[in-house]
Amino acid sequence: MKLRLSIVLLAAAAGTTAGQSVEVAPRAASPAAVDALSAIDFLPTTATLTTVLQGNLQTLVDIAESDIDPGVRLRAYRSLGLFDTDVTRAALVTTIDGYRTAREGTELLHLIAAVEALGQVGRDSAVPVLAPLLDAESRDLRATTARALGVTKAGAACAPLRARQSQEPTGQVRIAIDTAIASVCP
Amino acid sequence: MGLALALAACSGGGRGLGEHCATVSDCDDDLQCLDHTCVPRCRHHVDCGDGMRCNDGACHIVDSQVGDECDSELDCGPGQTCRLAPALSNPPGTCQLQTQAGIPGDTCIVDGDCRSGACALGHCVELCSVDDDCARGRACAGIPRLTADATAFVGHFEACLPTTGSIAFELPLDPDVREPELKIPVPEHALSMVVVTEVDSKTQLIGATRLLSPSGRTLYQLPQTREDFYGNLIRHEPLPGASVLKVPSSPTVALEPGAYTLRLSVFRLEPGPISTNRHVKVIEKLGPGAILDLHFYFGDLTAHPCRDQIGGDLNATTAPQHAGFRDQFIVELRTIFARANVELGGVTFHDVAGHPELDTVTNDNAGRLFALSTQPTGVSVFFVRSISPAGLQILTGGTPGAPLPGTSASGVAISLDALCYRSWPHVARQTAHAVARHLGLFRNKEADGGEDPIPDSAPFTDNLMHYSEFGGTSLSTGQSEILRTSPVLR
Repeated sequence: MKLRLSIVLLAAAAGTTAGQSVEVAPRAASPAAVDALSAIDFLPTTATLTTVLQGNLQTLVDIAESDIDPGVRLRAYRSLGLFDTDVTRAALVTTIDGYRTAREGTELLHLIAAVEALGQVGRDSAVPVLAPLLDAESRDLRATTARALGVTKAGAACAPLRARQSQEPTGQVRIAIDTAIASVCP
Repeated sequence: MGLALALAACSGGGRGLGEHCATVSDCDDDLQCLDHTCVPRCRHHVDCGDGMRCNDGACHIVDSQVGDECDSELDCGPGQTCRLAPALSNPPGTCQLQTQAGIPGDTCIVDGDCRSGACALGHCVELCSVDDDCARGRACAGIPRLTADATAFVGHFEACLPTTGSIAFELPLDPDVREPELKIPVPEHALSMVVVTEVDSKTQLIGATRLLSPSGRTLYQLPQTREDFYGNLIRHEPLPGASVLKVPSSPTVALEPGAYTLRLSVFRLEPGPISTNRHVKVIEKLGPGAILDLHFYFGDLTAHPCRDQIGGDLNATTAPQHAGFRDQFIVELRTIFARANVELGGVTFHDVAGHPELDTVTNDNAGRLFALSTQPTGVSVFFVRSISPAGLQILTGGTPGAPLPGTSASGVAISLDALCYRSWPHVARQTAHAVARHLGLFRNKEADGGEDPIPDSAPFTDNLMHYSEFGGTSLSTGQSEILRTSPVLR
C-alpha cells in the first residue's frame, strides 16, 4: 500500500500555537520518514532516507505529492534531489510543470524546492525545464533557477543564463546568474 | 570655656556637612572630619579615596613606604599602588609609586599596561586579600597567573573582579607554532567559559583538538568516531572560519577555577598553506545574570513569497509595530525563555542593506551574514528571505555560537518562508531553538540518534531542543541551568 493512502492528516494543525507543543506533528503510516523530513535545520542524508524509505523512492515522491504537512512536503521535494534516478527526475519535472505558474505562498515554495532539487540531478535534461523559469515573476524563483542551472553543469544552460543576465533588474538574481555562468559557461 | 568645648566634642560637635572641623568630634555623629571638613562617614574603603582605608566609619591614611610588601591595594598609601611582583611571591606585591598606566577595568595585553602591574583576563586588576578590599560590584577572586605567552601556568594571585556580567580577552598566539597548546585562566567565581577560535579562511577548519581541566581531566579530544564525539565530556567540533567551545555544557561537568589547557589546530578543506592568522578569544561569565538581549536584523524582505501571510514587508522600521511580530512572536519568545528563568531584555532592530548575495542563506555563506552583527551583547537574529536547501527554517553559527559580534559564528538566521504555512508563535519556537543553540544547548536528540550531554533532558519531541519543526517548548532543569550559564546573558 502506498504511504499516501494511509497518511493520517493532521496537517490542519499547522498554524495553531503555543503551549508545550507549538504544533501537532503529523502522524503517518511511516512516521520514521516524516520524522526524518521534519528537521528545521538539516535535510536527512541519503543513507537515512534510504533506510526509512526501505529503498522505495516512490514513497518519498508520494510524501512530496501528498497533502501532508507543507513543511514536510517541502523537504520531501528538496530531498528528491538527493537521488539521481529516473523516478525522482520525472517526479520533479511533473511538479515543476504543475506549479510553474505559482507566484506566491506555499505553492511557490514547493516549486522552488523542486527546482533546487532538479538542479542537483537533472543535468542536461533539466535545462529546458528550468530555463523558462528565469523569466518568472518571483525573484526568489529566478534566483533559485539560476543557481539550479549552475549546479547542472550543463553547457546548454549558458545561453539562457546569458540572455537573462542582460535584463535582470534584481541584485539577488544577478548575483545568482553571474555565479551560474561562471560555473557552466566555457 | 575649655570644659564646655570638650563636652561639645564628646556629645558630637554639632557641625554639619561641609563645615570646618579639627577632629571628628567637631562633626555631627553621622559625619567624620576629613581634610578639615565634616563629610559623611564612610561605609567602604572606596568612599575614602586613594591610599586610605575606612575603619569604623572614618577614613584613615595608610602609612606605607615605597618597596613595602603588600597583599592589597589598601596596604599602600596615597600616590602608591600595590604592584604585583613579576615572580609570584607571598605577599604578592610591593608598594610602588603610581604611574599613568591603566587603571582597574582598562583593557591590557601585558602587565606593564597596568598601574598595578597586573594584567589578568585582558584587563587591569587591583590586588586584594578579601572581598572588602574591592570596590562595590567587585569581589576578591583567585586568578591563575600565566606566562606572557599563555603557554604555562605560574600560580595564583588574588585580585578584584566584577561580580556581574562577563569578561572577554584574547590569548596570544605564536604564528610559528602550528598546533599551539595554550593555558586559559579561569578565576574563582566564574560560571562559564566560552572559547571562540577564528581563522581568516572559510576553507580551513579551526578548533580545539584537546581540552584539559585544571585538575588534568581530559574534557575533550578531537573525535575520530561518532562514539568519540558523543563520549567527550565537552562537545565541540572544528568548523570553517570559526568554532566555539563552552564549559560547562552539562551540569555534570562543572567549570573549575584554574588554568585550562587548550590545544588548537587548523585543518585544510582545500589544498594550500595553513593560515597563521588565527585568534583565540575567551569570554567568561562572572555573575548569575539571566537577561537575554535580542537584536533583530532584517535582510531585504520586500515582495517575499509569503508577504500576504506575513502581513506586509518586514524591516527594522515596521517590525516593532507589526502586530504578529510584536504581539505573537516576541510574546511567545518571552514565554519560552521565561520557563528557563531567562528574561528577555533589550530588543533592537536593524536593516541589513546592500547585501543581495545574502538574500538566500546557505551553510556556505551564513558566516558572512553573521559577521555583519554589531551588537556587543545578546544574540543577533537575522531574518532572511530563505534558506537553502529549501525547507530549512533556521541556521545557526554553531552550538554554541560566539558571544561576541562580528564573527562567522555570531548569530542565527531565520527564514520567513515558514510563515507561508506556519504561525508567528511557530516561528518563535524555531527562533527560540536557534537562540538556545547559540547559548550552548545541543539538540536533545540528534539525527543520528545521539543525545545531548544533559542527563535529565529526555529525547522527546516536546522539548525545545528537538530538531523537528513539530517540537515543543519544554526544557529540563539541567537544560535551563546550562542555558543560564551562557555569557551571552547579562
